[in-house]
Amino acid sequence: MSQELRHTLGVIDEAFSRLRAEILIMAAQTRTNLIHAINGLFERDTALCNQAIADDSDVDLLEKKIDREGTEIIVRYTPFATDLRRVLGAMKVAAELERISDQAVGIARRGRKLNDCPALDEVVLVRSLTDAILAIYDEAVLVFEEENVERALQIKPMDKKIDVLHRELIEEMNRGMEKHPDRLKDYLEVVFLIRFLERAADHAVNIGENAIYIRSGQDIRYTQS
Amino acid sequence: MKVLMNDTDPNQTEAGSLVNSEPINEGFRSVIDVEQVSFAYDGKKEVLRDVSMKIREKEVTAFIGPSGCGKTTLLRCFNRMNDLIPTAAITKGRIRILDSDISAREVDPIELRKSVGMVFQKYNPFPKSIYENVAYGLRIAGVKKKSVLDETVESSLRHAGLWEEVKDRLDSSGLGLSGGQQQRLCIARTIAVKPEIILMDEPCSALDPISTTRIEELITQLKKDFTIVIVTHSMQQATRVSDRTAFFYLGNLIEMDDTTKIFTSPAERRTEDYISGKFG
Repeated sequence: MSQELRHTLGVIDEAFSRLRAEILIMAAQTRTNLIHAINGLFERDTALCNQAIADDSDVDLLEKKIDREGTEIIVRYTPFATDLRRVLGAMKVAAELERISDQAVGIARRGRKLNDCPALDEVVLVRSLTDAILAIYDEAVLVFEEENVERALQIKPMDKKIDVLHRELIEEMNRGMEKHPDRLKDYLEVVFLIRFLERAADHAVNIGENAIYIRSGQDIRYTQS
Repeated sequence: MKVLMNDTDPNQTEAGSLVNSEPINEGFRSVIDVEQVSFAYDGKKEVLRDVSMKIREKEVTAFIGPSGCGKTTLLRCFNRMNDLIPTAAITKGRIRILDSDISAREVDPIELRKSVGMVFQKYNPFPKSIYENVAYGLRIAGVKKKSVLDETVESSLRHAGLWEEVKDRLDSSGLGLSGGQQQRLCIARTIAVKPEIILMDEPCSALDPISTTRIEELITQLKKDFTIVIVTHSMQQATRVSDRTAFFYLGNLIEMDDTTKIFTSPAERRTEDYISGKFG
C-alpha cells in the first residue's frame, strides 16, 4: 500500500486504526474457531468441537462492535472515497467473518456427532479440503489487511480448485454410502461438513472482493467467471 | 442570440427563451462550455489555468476546492462579474454560454446576466418591499404591466418556496425577513427574470441548518427548470444537491465527474485527499 496522508482531524486516523484492529482480532478469532472445529474432527476431540461452538459468540460480539464503530465513523466524520469504502468494506468483511465462524460451528456440530460413532476411513480425505480452506482464508485476510488487489484477484481461482475438491469428496462419500449403507447417516454428516467448508471458502472469496473494492473502488462481484 | 441582445418584448411574461445549442454527444446538452480558460489578476497572478469543462443543462454542478483554488473566480466569469475588477481578465481560452462566446465585444453583460443569474453568499435583498425586490429585475427590463408583474412576483415567490410565508405582507420590507427567507427572496428575485442558468456562490454559508435544508430542497426543485452551478465549501452539501462535481486546486480543474463517483471513487489522488480531509 502506498504511503497515505494523515487526516487533518487526527481522531479520524485513530478511529480507522481501531476499526482495522477490531477486524484483525475478529479474523484471528474466526480462524481459531475454524482450527478448533477442524482439529476436533480429525482428532475426534469433542472438547475442541465444543470450544469452536462456544467461541462463536465472541465472533458475534465482535461483528456487532465493528458495526457500531463503523456506524459511528459514518455519523461523526462523514467519510468519503477510500475512507467511505474502508468503513463499508470493514462492516461487510465483519459479516463474512461471522458467517465463516458459523460454518465452523456447523463443522464442529457434525464433527461432534461423528466422534460418537466409529471412525470413518474417508474422513481423512477431507484433510485436503480443510488445508485448502485455511489457505484461502489466510490469503483473504492478508489481502484485506494489505488491500492488495493483485493477490485478491487470485482468490477466485483458488476457490475454483476448492469447488473441484468439494465435488470429488462428495462423490467419494456417495461411493462410501453405496458400499456401507449401514453407515449412511454418518456419511451424510461428512457430506454436510464438506458443504460447510465449501461455503467458508465462498465467504473468503467475498472478503477478497471487498479488499478490491476498498483499494480500487471496483465492484467485481459476480463478474469473475 | 437572445441571451446577449436586448431584443425581447419587455411586457412578455415569458422572457425570451434562449437559442438552443445543438445537443452534444453523451446524451446531455451542455449550456456552458469552458474552453482552456486561464484567468489572471494584473496580468500576472494566475488564478485559473487552462480550465476546460462542460456544464450540463438542468443539472446541478458543484464546484469544490480549498479557498483560493479559483472556483468562485470561474463562477463569476460565467456572468462576467469579474468585469467589475479592472485588472482582472481571462488571459486565454473562452467561455461559451448557450453557444455564444460571452467575452465577445458585442456581448452586453447586463443582457448576459438576465440569462445567467446569481445568488450570493450573503443574502442581499434591496431595501425595498418584498414585492419590489422580486419585481425589480422586470422593472429594469421595462415591464410596466401590473398583471405581468403580479403574476411573475407570485410565481417567482412560489418557485422559491416563499409565497405562503409572505403573501400577506408583500409590501413589508425584504430586510424584515429571516436570513433564510431573505436568501429565498434573493433566489425569487433571480428567477423572476427567467434566467437559463443560476450561479450560487456559497448560498447557505450564512444560514442555520434548517434554512440550509430549505435552500437545498429548493435547489433540487429549481433544477427542473434551471441549470445550476453552486460553489460550496460543504462536501455534504455537494453530495446532497449536485449531480456533478468539479474539484479545483491551485487554479487547476483536477477532476470533474458524477458526484457519486467523485465522493466514492475519485480518479485523482488530490481529490481523494481533499474530500477526505487529509494534509500533506
